[in-house]
Amino acid sequence: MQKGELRQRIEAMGLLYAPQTELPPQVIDQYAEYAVRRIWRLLIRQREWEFRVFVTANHGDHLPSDYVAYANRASATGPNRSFADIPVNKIGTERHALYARAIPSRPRTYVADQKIYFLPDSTMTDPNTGNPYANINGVKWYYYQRPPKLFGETIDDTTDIGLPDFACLWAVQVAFTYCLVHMMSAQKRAQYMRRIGEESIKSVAQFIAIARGQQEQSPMYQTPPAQKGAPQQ
Amino acid sequence: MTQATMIQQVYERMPDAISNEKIDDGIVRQALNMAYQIVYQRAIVAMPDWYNRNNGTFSNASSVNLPSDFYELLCVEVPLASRGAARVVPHTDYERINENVVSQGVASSPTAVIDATAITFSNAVTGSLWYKFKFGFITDDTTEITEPNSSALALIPPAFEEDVLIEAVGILRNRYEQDEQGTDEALEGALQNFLMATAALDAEKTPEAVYNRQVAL
Repeated sequence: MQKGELRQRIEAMGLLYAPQTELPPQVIDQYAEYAVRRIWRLLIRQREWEFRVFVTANHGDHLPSDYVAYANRASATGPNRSFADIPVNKIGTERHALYARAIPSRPRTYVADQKIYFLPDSTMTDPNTGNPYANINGVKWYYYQRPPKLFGETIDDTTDIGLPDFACLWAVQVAFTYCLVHMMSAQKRAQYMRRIGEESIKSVAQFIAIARGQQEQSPMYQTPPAQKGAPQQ
Repeated sequence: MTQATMIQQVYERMPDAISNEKIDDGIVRQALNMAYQIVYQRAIVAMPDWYNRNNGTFSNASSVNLPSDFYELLCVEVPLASRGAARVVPHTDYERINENVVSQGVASSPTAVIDATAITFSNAVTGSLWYKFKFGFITDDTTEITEPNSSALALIPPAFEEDVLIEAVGILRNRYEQDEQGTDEALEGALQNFLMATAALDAEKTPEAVYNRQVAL
């Protein structure tokens, strides 16, 4: 669906359910964008492969401009090696502690200063040769892409909203709900918007947790259904 | 988006309420900065990597001044230490640990403690400081807010761009609607909103809210 079509559908919803009101298109547009983001974050939890892409990164490269979260997968070719993702708290250990540090056959990746880094790097010495390691380059580094921006005059009405077809009507509904909240009295709106904002933030956190490998849907994290009556044979 | 674009977008998003740019610029900037700080609190929990920072190395120092944008310590990297980093010791135990010959900091395993303005080590060490950064009131309109580039760190992760704007627009809308009501009602409304904000702040700081955050990382 295109941005302009989304707005027209929301306006049509207005004609159906709240015919007395006429919202400025900018107001509709901002809630449309907000709704698309909200649905995108729900979808990404279920269908993350649609949003996962990679960049070929060198040591010290900036995060891609459309970066949202690291997808917990990075690899270098020949031989194929995967990079473990480490928190920066462990950087000292991973760099310097005997037996714990990264070596070329078990490399690491981390993000700092909003750049992509790998270990081992040139600050570390190869114990076999006594020479510093070379920085690692050309790594396939997977991440999740942010959805297209939709608000504003510079974004044309023909821009695709970036959701799969089945979710578009859902976007219309959610955006129209936000528009209805917008038309309430100040206090009620403040209450509703606070709740909507909290939900939005929570969905980011859940998405990141999943991006970092904590699969919410995995059977490992689900409690088995309670058995009724005697256990079945 | 830079701060200038954010301000512009806030105007665009409420064409029915804001009419005179010259009067309102400062108020918009104020509301945006409130929104940045609100969203920062959430983003730093939700996006663990975004605020990581390294401020370079120090050599043979017994203490290091905290950088002005210091928020939280991640690691004191010390290449010559046996575990590659200094042990960060709780300040209540610092003396007890360092006066104990068994656990005291030594050159191969130095201890560090954070005070208001500096991190102090048990032995002079050479290394570097890794921390999470924070930011204050943004007055410079060229400041980059949501998109990192080669010359600037972005203050808010791109995933939160819309949330910042919606938050700022919400703050401003409350203000403008109060202006349109009568004085008493307006003050009452302002009071209500202020009390709600205070209650939200209190709720944030209760032990339950701090330790039972519904954010799994």
